Amino acid sequence: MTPSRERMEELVADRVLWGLSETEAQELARFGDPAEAEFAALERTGAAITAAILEPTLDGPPAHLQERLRRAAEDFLGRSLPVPEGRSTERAPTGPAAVRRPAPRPVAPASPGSSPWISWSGWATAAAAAVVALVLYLDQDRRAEVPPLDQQLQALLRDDPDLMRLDWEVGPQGEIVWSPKAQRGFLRLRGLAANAERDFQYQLWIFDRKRSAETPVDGGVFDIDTAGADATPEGDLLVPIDAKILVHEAFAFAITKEEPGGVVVSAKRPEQIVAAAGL
Amino acid sequence: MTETYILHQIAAGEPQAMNAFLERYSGLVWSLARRHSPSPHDAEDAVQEIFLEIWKSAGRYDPGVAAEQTFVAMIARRRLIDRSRRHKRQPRADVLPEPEVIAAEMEPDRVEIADEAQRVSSVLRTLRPEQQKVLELSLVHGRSHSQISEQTGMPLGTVKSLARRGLMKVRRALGVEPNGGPSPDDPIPGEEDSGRGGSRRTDDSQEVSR
Repeated sequence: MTPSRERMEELVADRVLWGLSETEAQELARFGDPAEAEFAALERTGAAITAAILEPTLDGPPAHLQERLRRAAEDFLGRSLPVPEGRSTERAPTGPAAVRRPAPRPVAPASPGSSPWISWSGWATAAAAAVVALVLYLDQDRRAEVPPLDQQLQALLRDDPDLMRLDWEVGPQGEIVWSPKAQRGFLRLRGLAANAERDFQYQLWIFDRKRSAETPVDGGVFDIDTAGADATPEGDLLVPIDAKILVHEAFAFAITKEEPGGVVVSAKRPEQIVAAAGL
Repeated sequence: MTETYILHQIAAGEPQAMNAFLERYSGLVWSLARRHSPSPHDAEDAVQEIFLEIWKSAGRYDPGVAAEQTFVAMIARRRLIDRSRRHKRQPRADVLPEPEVIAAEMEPDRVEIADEAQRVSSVLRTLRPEQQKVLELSLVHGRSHSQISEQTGMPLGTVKSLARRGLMKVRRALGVEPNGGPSPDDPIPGEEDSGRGGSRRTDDSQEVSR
């Protein structure tokens, strides 16, 4: 491969992944039609990767958005849509039934003037009292069929001999299953209260020995919904762990209640802490 | 056997197909929009905008070029990137081709389209975990290379290199080649002066085009 072709491919890949600066865009334009053809191929590849990554953890849109889309579709076609079967259900069939995982959105870190961070072990203990008031037993209305997430969990348990497993010490019953090799894992939860997405959402934090305990890794935002159940045969709700960055050596986990969409850095007020393990 | 594609049925104005389309793809579009958008409200607006764009382009969908799911994800990413730039009030240094010409630009694929998602997943599993993570943060979450570098602690050059190589590896595994494009040894226009000396951005503020 000639250096210039290599450079063209770099620029095209960057355009798909991140976009180009004006200077880079001008540089790429000099490659002409081959660069555009290359971009079309790589853009399609990027879209295929996007769909493949999202597929296992798709979130169904909320009911009001589904209704809005139906109205938009009717306006587009100029005719009414037939009422689909089971339309009264809250979520689209593509999403998990009990646990929704909206992506966190970046928000400003806790202000310097806010309460200083107490130690995780300290506020985990303090959280225990709050947890008591939040506990709802969710082992009801589960789907009869084996949930896909359970199959994923079983596969992980079967295939990875180096799994890390920790029981929740504060908050719900259950455990954390984490594969350092695959950078994947699941929370097994029983007794975590259902939440209304517009009020607050749950956020998982992963403590990495290679990082400061003050800045645990964001493990993803999720909701608990009692309308359905994505659960193990034992009745534990399953939540896939969605570590946003590489976790070198996980040693502890915690769940906090955060504003809708999640946060980059938790204020970690005691009343926010609903679960902890390994701290 | 002739396979029926929902997008073609939508182009023909079939209401039942619209229901099926929403059922099949609303999860994908919503999940992606949530990850790219600053708020749930903005994500909802984005989803509607994306679906309108897809419906308008439905008649031009070519099943010989891309899986329906890929077509949907591609338009979704484009619109979300557009919206992100509008939010940041950043001008674009170049213009993305309209969805209507996507099919014309992409060559017919040599792989079985129906197996595409499974093949992509298989290839992704062969990548190093940090490479998978970088691709996910970029493509699915819309993070810039600077943000990924900051979040992962990896040097900027490593982030770029991992993502580029991962993207190219998946592309090779899928057999995706530019339509009518040259072979790797063909001459490139501007070869004499394009070199590797182009200026490189150093921060997000200079990212102005896709």
